[in-house]
Amino acid sequence: MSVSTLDTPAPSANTRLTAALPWVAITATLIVLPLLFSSNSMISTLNYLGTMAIFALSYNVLLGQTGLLSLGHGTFFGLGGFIATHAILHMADAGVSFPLPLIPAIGGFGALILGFFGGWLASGRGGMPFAMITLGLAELVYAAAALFPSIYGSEEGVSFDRMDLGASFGMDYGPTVDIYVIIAVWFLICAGVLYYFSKTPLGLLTNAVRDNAERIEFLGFSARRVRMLAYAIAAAVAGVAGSLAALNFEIMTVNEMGATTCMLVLLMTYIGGTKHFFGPVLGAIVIGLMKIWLSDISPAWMMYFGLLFIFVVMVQPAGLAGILMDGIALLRSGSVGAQAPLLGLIGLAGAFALTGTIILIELAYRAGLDATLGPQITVLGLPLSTASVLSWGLGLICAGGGVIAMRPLFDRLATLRHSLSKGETA
Amino acid sequence: MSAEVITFSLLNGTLYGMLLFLLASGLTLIFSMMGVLNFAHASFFMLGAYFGYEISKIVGFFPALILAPVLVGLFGALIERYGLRRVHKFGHLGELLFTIGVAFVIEEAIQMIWGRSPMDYQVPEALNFTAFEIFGTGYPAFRLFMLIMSVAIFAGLALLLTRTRVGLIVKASLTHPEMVSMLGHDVPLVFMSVFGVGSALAGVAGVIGGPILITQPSMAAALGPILFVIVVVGGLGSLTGAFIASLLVGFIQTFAVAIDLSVADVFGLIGITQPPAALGALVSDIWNVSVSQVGPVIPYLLLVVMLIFRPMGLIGKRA
Amino acid sequence: MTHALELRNLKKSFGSVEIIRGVNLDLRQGERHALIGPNGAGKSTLFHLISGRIAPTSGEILFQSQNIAGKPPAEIVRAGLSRSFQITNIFPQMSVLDNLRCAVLWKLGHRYSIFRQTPTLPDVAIECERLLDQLGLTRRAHDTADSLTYPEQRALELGLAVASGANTLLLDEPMAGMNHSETEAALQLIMKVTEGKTLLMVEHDMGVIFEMADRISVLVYGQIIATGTPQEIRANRAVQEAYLGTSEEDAA
Ligand SMILES: Nc1ncnc2c1ncn2[C@@H]1O[C@H](COP(=O)(O)OP(=O)(O)OP(=O)(O)O)[C@@H](O)[C@H]1O
Ligand SMILES: [Mg+2]
Repeated sequence: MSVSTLDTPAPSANTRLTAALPWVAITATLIVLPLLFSSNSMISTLNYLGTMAIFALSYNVLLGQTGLLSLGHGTFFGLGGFIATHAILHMADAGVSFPLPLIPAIGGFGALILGFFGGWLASGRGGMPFAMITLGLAELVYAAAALFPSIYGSEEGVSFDRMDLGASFGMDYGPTVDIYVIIAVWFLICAGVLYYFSKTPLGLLTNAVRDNAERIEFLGFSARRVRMLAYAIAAAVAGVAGSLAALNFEIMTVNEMGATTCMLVLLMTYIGGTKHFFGPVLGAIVIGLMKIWLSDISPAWMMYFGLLFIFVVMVQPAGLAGILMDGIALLRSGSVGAQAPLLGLIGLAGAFALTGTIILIELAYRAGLDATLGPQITVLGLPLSTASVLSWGLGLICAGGGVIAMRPLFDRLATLRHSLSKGETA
Repeated sequence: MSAEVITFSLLNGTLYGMLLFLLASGLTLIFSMMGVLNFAHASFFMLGAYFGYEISKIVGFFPALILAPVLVGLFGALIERYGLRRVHKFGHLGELLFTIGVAFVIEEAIQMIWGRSPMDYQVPEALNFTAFEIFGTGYPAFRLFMLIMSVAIFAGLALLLTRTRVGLIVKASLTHPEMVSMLGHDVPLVFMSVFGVGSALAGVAGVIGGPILITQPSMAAALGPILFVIVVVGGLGSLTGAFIASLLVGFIQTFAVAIDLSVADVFGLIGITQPPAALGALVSDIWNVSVSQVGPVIPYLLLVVMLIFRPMGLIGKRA
Repeated sequence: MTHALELRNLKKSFGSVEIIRGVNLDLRQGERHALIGPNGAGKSTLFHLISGRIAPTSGEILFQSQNIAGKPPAEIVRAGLSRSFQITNIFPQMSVLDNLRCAVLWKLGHRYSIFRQTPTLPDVAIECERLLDQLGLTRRAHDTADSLTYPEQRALELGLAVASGANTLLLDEPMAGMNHSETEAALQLIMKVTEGKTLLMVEHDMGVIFEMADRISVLVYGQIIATGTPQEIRANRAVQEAYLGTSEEDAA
């Protein structure tokens, strides 16, 4: 019997260490980050990224793990947030003392219960029907919210003061950094729980449902039950994320559970990469930062999201995490030097395509939506004008040339990837 | 409710339902043919409205009624040829994600070109008169025109699918793509055409719906989810089901707007005029809910009820 | 009763076409029973009916004296009847080991558990190791199922059916598409893993059937036209007619 080829019941100390390494690194990063970026606005940004990262991780339980495309995951983010908000308001009213950092547990638990119900409705089938039904349920909750202003507030939402519950754990929760601590700890908890979950029997069954839902019925399981449980677990963690968002902003609005939120989490998760556990975190960070920074400097930021998403869907389904993993595989194989010309060319062509696309989009926005700002516009340091054929031509040539040059390069890249993945398994 | 309100609601309900069916039929056609749920379908509808508006400014409404759908159809065919077909290898999930991306980009592009505020897309002069009067109130000719258009397209589509060779090939490609391609038909071309025609149908709906529903960047996002409700409630892939569900939703929404009744009125009938204060804010919320407020919620409630009692939809195949 | 499975006047129609037209069949406890018949006879459809993939139009399926007709597949497996598929039906993106883990989870009582990590469950590890060894897939344990060769995938397909711990197995053409030496190896494998179980197997290779089957049933055009030992079947007029074409029809 060759025991070495199987996971043994008691993993050696060495493998345990390797498994623990990412977690140690993440914890260290979470501790160092607020020290490096200590300004209030930076901490705020970190808080936002943290909640989004948890949210995206929860979404990947459905998308990556179970192969279910939910178009209504934002509902549980929002409902979790509202549950947390009302919990705080009521407890503050009643004078109950309850530690603020535990509020997300309430939001998460509420979302779990609602998730069971939603999951029961939605999980009869996977694929397209699941996507449509989750969308319908999300729209139902969103539309119905307008009927209950006492729960969801009117347009301005429901706000509260997070300091009302009083101090606990040596923090009074006034400063943003206190919330950072809460979010960081919840991030570790949620990521840890979801990682553990992915290794449990139910976690394995979710993968089986993704691969071949019919077959597990012939192994004694109900695919519907698996989908429902996955849905509820994902909802619970989304509820935690929503509660954290509420703590961070001290307000919850109905928009937080609208179509935009549902779309955002899909974009973040998919762009980050659904096939790697931490892919969604990467996506949340990249998209979150783009959302915060890009919206300041360009009116076209939503357009860039959409195009990036289409790009990932069409040519890089493994997402940003996939690129990262390929890079690591390349480094490990030690053939970076040999492949440098190819990578350099791809980088160059990519840069051209990207520059051209940005020029064209910025020009188009200036010519259309922002025409009142005048034809002169500086894009990537280049002085351009919507009235000049030269400007448009430059954009077209860069974009077109880049894309055309890219195609043969991509074929070569695909071959390289293939050989790398072969080398890894051998 | 007076007979007048009922008559007008019936007319408008049929009209709205037929418009929804114009959209749902294209969606269903594409879905049953390619297994793809085209998330961008409502976006093609929006493109139809914007193209219709722009083109009718130059050459008038009636040429636009032809040109705009053709453009939208061509656009759809291109999307199929250079996008959808390439992501086909990633399965239906990849295809759905792709159409979501397309919907996202179309909405952005429309804002980029036309801005965020509604367009001044008006009913064309030639149809801006009263068609007939009942109960002393006129019914606009444009609405009648919309109704006739929708019914005509419905009939045309039904004839095309059931009576012609093209329809045979399309239906055969649905069930036996390999066989059809063996017989010398270009199945990818059939798929592209179906996608194009489905998009063009959405485009028609956009051109004639634009002046009535407001032509603005959010019109796709507002209509999209309703379409999915219709397709699920009708039974995935069933044209007949989509037809019934479209009318159902059309009636529900128009009647809900017309019924002037709230929970408070109902209680008023039995002599209770104030919500019992002891029951709290939630009850007073419900107290104030009127039927017209519930209108937007009903289609989704219908979906939930359907899922519980008849998950395969009205005309769905049993799982 | 010594019957593991009894089919009583089982019928199935698709639309107006009746594909299974009143099948009666007894499967004795512990026997190896082969189901043969020409292409399109309805063998796979019969398996779908028994295993719950589709519901019969009428008739009874008695498994351990319980009527399981129309029950969902999961319930039938839990009762102790599992099957393999003619067209390979495995979890392509998952490793061979994970494929088997899924298959043993129910019988070992872990079900939908979220309290232990699968790799740390000793009973799962031991059972999977045994199965991998039996199937000859130990060296492939960590490769994804879609990277296996065809005979290996067929072995895994068989493994999934066996792993669920059922005492009655339905195997639908487990050796379809294999060459001679592969077929021989697969037959040995099947004999080994189905030791002591009741087996109903569809197969086209007569050599295989006469080597392994205790009894044979012949399904033609949705009806069982004969059941008996290999010798009886070989001598049966109706079977010869069905397979070789009838002289009467030729004359007519
Ligand atoms: N879902 C279905 N709808 C309509 N007809 C069906 C369906 N499934 C099977 N059939 C028909 O039933 C008949 C029997 O099919 P089945 O697959 O059971 O044959 P088989 O005996 O397993 O053949 P083979 O040896 O080729 O595997 C075939 O004519 C087939 O076309
Ligand atoms: Mg068969």
